[in-house]
Amino acid sequence: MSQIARDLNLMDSHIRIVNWRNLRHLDWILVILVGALAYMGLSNMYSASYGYEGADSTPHFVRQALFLGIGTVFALIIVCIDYRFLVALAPLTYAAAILALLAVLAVGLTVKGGRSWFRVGTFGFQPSEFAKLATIFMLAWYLSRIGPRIRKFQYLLLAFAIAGVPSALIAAQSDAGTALTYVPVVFVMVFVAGCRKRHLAAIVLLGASLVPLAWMQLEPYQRDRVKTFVDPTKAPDSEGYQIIQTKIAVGSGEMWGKGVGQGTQTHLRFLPEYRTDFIFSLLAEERGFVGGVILLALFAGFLIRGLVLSEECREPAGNLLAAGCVAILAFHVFVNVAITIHLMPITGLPLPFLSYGGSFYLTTMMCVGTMLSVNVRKGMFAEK
Amino acid sequence: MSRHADKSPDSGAEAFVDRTHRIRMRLVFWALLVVFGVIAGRLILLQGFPDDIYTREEGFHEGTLELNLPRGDIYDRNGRLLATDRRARSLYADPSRIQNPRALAVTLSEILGEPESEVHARLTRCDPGGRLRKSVPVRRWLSAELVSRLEGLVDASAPGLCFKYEPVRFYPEGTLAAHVIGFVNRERVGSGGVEMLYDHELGVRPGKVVARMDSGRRPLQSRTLEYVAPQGGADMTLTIDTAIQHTLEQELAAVLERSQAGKGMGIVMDPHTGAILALACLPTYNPNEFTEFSDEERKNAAVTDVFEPGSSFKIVTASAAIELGLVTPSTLIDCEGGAFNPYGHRIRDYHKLGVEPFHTCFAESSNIAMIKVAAMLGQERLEHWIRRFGFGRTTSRDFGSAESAGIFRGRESWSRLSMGSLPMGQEISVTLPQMARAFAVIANGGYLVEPHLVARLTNPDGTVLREHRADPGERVLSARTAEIMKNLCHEVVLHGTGDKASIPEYRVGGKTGTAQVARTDGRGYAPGKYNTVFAGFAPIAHPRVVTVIVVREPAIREHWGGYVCGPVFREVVRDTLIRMNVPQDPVREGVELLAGQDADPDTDPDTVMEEDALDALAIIEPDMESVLADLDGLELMALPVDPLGEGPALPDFRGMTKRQARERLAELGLAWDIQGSGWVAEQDPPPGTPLAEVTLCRLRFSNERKKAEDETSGPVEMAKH
Repeated sequence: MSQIARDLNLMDSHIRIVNWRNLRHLDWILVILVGALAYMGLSNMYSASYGYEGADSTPHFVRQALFLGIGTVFALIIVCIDYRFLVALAPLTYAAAILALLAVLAVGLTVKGGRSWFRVGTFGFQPSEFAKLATIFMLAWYLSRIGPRIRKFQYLLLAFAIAGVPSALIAAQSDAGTALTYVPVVFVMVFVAGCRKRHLAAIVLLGASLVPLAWMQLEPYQRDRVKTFVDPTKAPDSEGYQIIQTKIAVGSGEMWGKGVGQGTQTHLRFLPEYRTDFIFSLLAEERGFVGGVILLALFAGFLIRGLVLSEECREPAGNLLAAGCVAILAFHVFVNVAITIHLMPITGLPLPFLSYGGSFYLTTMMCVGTMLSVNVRKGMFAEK
Repeated sequence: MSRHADKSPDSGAEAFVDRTHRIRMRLVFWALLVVFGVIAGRLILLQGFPDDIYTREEGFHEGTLELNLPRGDIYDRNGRLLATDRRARSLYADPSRIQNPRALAVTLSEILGEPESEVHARLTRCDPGGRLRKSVPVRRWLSAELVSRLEGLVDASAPGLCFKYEPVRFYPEGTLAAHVIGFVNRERVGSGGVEMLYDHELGVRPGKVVARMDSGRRPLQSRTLEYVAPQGGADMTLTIDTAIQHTLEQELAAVLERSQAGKGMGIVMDPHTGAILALACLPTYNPNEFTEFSDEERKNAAVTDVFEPGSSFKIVTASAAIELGLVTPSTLIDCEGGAFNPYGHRIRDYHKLGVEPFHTCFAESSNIAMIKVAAMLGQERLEHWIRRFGFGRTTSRDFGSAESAGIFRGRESWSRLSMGSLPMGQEISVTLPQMARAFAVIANGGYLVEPHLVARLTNPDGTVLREHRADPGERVLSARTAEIMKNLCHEVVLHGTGDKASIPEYRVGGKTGTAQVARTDGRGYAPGKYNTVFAGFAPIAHPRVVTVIVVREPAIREHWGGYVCGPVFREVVRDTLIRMNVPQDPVREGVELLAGQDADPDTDPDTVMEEDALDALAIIEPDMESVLADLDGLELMALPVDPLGEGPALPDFRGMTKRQARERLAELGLAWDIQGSGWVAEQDPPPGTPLAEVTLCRLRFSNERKKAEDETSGPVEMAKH
């Protein structure tokens, strides 16, 4: 403890690790944007839960609201805790996350072809979601410690290694989408940390040269997904089906949408996974272009606000943390929406605030909490 | 370590780092904006200018589901299943998913035993648009054996090949009552029998649901747009009794074997209601494998084929004469010693009789007696009575249009020979149900019932769609005449030609028939080809069944109805009555049917002709005297009803016995002068003189019989040719 305190330079500081009063200094713009997104997510989930096909015993809407509540609590706890304390703990949480990923590979539940679940009580638990956050903290810890040495290639490689280990473990769970989320995170963070652009370019080239190799490593169904992305009509009954159906959903929404609860594509189960991966299709179908654009604007505002908060924080760890959180959420938003509008091949990535799922909702809210926490404490450095 | 914590003295470098950092944050910001811009642009394209197929999605969600029912089952009268729908596996191919159709075709053609090219054509069939089809039947309704041989191949080539269950008509009793039931063809349309006739009721007209569908093509009840309930699918209960049907078919098969006949048919019917308990036609076919049989084999010959009934038809003539009071069972009739030529056509009797009471003539199936009786009836009444007994028209709704009405031409197209042919069942063709119905008239006390096969049709929901209501039928005979006819028929079996049909436990009535088969080219009769018939009913006291057995063209010497068909009748009726728990009604020794009228068949005609005997008979049956002379030919026909309107003329008495002549004269109200004994040799005035001009008739008798036709042979000969 004393070591951590020394690292954080807290021994002589009046700044406490936990300070409930920080809640008073939240960035209200971000909070309002998050509230608006959460509201859209919940109302959308309400529609997805109650169609004319009846509802499950515990509607998804109720559970999603519960996740939002839990997530809010988690976010507020994170706000109250000094993020530097959490960054200092990052090696431990990172190690724990790696262990959890190893464990889930060994004994986890197999859901839809991927082993990524632990079951705790009635809720499943996905270590890969929390591994994302742990990795962001780990990268922030590492990058803030090495400082300008990031300009040396070997330090840069180590940063990639930190992201690469959980990414590889998640890829081993056949969850290519989640594994890919580490790529933008590590790129944005090292970029913001000040690595050399030519190093990044070299890594990009190296990665590009590895694409054929990776292609060979993909499972057949993953390759089919890419192939049908190019022409979904080639397999309208199987792999292309989802693409066609989601395009019909989005396209049939037109300008104003069909109205909440009236989305036939989703409620009649033409569109699979409409509560998770294809939730944006439901929104676009029922609320049309207007609804979709409002949602995208909210996301853009939220992410840009996150970047602003990141930049406002002059402390490197906080700056990197916020940037990493923005990067990972932006990647989710972009990939998810891009899939539903046929811009990318299908990979299962949830849409923050909208897709059903407890683990991811918690991760999202903890990202939000981290951003707010970084912002709350930015003033401490300005005083110095 | 961090840029802020770094205590580097070079603040310029720190400022540089800060500036770089700010630029980099800007870059991230712009990258984010670009990404969102791309997404928003795509959204504008998709939703602002949507493709037609995306906006017309309603069409994808509306679906039509066919609502089907299984075809109705068919049961016998005891609820035994005779026909039902079963699911059989069919082999289907999905040509769009077959990797190597050529190789698969080779393997399949081996298993299915079909040419490889045909199988290959099916495996590569395209729709009109030139794309490979998704579902093509390779072989429908596979046998269990083929399924087991195909299973491995289907598993290996899935999803290119698959089994599908399809309904197929199944007849659990196989060939039993096959002609009655019919079969269902590959297009699921009833063909033949009640399957065809009641196809509308048994068959199903599919209904449909047009509704919004979910992705699993499940209709959403709340979004039903159109609902049409499926129609039909009614279950049918036949009047057939499987056990009786089985006996009938078994016995017919046995007689075909015994007599090496080509075809046999039989009917067992309830005479009171017309309910057909069994109707068979052999050789039969198996409706489960109907494709193996020809149309000829599959048609229900029992209702489509016509045959000459021969002597069994004599019940019509006899019933009519008795009903009209023209004869009684004891009326003596001169059977001319077995050969008679009233109409230029020599009539022979197999059992040569002299003068015999009518019941004996009937029992021994005397053609001559029947022709004489028919002559008493005359053309018009004979035709009327033949029609009254239901000949010349179809019998039942349950046979449909396939049923023949028989061949019976009206009086206007009769020839001169007709009165010599019709009474004994020639020049007329009848069907099996017609015969059964005619005998049922006698058996049920005089009513013409409608034979029927279908007792009931029940809707799938259990309500009765249609039930056969037994119509009492038109009264044809008085109860008394029917009773007399019953006894006459009983004597046929007791003493006459039908003795082979007698059953120990029950008294049986019936009539035999043997007729030559008409040439197929329509001229005359084929030599050596006969139809044999036995029709009858039992028990005599209260008949419960009428049965007609017909065996066509037996190839044995004893081609008589009694000999060939009698035993079939005996076995079938005996089995039926025992099965129906009919109390026994055996023949009791010493109790004679027509007491005191049991004439000796060997009696010499001359002795019977003696005046004493005639007087004795006249005392017993005084009413009959007036009709006994009514035996002459052509002129006599005009007498009772005078159809031609020429006025009565003096009959030709030549060839008559003294008694006949006397009765005839008495009937005409003429005074007579008789000389000699024997048969009339000469008469004065000559035949044909208008009665108004005749006051006295002189007849000279001679012991040498002089036949009427001897003098009129010229015209009759001409008529013959």
